[in-house]
Amino acid sequence: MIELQNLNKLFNQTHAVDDVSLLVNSGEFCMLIGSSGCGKSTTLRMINRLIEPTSGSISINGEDVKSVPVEDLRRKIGYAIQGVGLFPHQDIFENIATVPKLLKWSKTEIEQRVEELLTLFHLDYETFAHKFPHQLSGGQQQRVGVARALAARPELLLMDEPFGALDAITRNYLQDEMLRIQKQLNITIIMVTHDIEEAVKLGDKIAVMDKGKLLQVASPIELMRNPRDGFVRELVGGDDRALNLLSLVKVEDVMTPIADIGKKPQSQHLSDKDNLRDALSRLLWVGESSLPVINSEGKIIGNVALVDILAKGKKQK
Amino acid sequence: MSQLSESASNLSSKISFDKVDILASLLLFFSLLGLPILTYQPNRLTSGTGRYLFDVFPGSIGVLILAVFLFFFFLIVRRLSVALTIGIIVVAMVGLFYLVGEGANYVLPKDAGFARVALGSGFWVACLALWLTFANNILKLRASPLFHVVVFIAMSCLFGLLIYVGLWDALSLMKEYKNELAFWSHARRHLFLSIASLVPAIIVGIPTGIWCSRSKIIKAAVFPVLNILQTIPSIAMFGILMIPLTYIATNYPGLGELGIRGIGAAPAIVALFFYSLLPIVSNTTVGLDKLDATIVEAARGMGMNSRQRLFKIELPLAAPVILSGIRIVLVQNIGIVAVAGLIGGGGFGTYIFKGLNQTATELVMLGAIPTLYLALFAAILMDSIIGFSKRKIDD
Repeated sequence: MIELQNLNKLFNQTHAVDDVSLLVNSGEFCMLIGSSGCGKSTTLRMINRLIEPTSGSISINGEDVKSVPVEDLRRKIGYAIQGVGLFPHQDIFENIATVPKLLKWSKTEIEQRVEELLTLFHLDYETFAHKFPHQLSGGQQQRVGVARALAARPELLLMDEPFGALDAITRNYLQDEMLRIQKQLNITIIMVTHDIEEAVKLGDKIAVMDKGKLLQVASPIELMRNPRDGFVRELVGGDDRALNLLSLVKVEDVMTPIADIGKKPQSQHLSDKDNLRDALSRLLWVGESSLPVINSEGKIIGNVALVDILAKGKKQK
Repeated sequence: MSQLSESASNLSSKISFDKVDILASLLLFFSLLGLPILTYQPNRLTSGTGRYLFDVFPGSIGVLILAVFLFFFFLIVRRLSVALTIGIIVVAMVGLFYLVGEGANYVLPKDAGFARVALGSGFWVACLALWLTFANNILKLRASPLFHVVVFIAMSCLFGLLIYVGLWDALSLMKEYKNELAFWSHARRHLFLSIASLVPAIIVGIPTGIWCSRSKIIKAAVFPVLNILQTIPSIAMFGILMIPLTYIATNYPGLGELGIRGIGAAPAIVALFFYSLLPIVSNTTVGLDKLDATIVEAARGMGMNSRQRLFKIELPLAAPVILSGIRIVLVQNIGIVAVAGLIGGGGFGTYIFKGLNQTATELVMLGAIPTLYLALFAAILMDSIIGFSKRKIDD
């Protein structure tokens, strides 16, 4: 559990962070969102004390971050940033081994851990361990960057717009990877982003900041349905709002049973874990008003109609 | 018009000339025909008269030599495989060395007396031309930096051997060499002075550079001083240093016996140390200041303390820039050490100043050529080290 209490940061009389209080539970994926210069990165960097707050306090599992030496604190918190910041003169193995080496793990322990992490990120150990960062693609570099941040099994991972510089396809893939890894490792993640779609897709909890102030903290659905007036409404209230809302609901939650259950689908179909946004897109594309839904074994388990989807995207009174 | 240029580019892509090789070949041809390859001097102190290729080797021998070199140009420009071209250039170089060594015997009268034969401008320009095309073709191999050092040493051995077996014994340069029994001790002295000033400059310069990159105030205080030191001419610097060093030597005789005197090695080393500081300090500062901020930020965020960041991340990444500073200093020092000959510091400068006093040009050459050679070797060696330090970092 991470608790920020009345956090303030002044840079030359300007209030970069203005009285921010936030609670992030263990195992939660918390998104800090806002436009550039709103203080979200400053807030994040105060957690691992890259920036010291002017006033206020931060505690992790009830322990004030100032109570431990700053290097020890940082070695216990994973940190991944937009520019990745891999060390260009060290190979992938050495890069990932950075924190374990600082913590003086044994050689075999480090080797095991690096192999484990590369496997976790679907990077082949033999192929990648002894390559240098510049030999990797942008997406691979960022995966190594996150693997490096996770090397010493931190319970908390801070990410500062880690996917901001990547193309849409790679970004989408890495977002899915992060969701999988966060569930698998059951760690707490606080991620800074300026992309509401990314926030909605990844976050269990979204904290919206503007001009140094924390405006609203809510679950994605709550934020979509009841945004506070002003900046938050602007942020979520674009034309995509209904679609963003749909992307939060899975097909299996709205499907209705049909007669063909247990059979193999004849032609076009949806899968139970798809979200409604993708399902809607598919229905429009194939020009059907409804499609059968299959489960992971490829058997039909129900049916989803266009009207059911449209109802979910509608403003609720 | 466009058709014309198109067909021209087609032609050039088929034959594909190398501009540097052509230029060097033309230069070589011109220097052998249009400049004296040797100089005849009635005695070692007179300036002498030029001897062209056809003066030295009259008639059919001269024509034959020219024909052989023409064939070389043809082969070099023809662009055979790079390795073969390099081989041809080396053969041409050996040929040129042999030509001037043998030519000296032709020029020298039987009852030579005080007469001397010196290398002429034609030889030097031809050397330059061959070296140019040689370097150009070596670079085309895209070999490792270490290879360049190996090539340089191999070439030194080859031509050193040619001179050692007496190919140039008839030349005035070798006669001066045989008169100067202290040549090799001056050589060692020259190297010692160049390196003895570099080591303390590295020990002081790198920490100062690190300090400057950490604090703007220190930087503002240190750089003007180093800049001023750098602009003092070397002879003036030796003069300025004589005063305090002489004072120390007279008041503390113990130190004087250790070699700290107004003239000799002490002022040379101190002056060179001062000259060495600016390139090392400024390159260290720039190297550290220009580091990718995200890399340093990542290192900080992962819990490296400032010492770990400096030694594991910052210095290794700034190493190529710092090493280029050391390269500048080493090459520069080898040159300035020659001036130390003036104040009794020893080294090849001794011959340069002795030769200048006697107006004996070839004695000046005996000091200048090894100095040039050392500087060139230092540059190639340092480039190789810099190249090695860059290899992992570059894309």
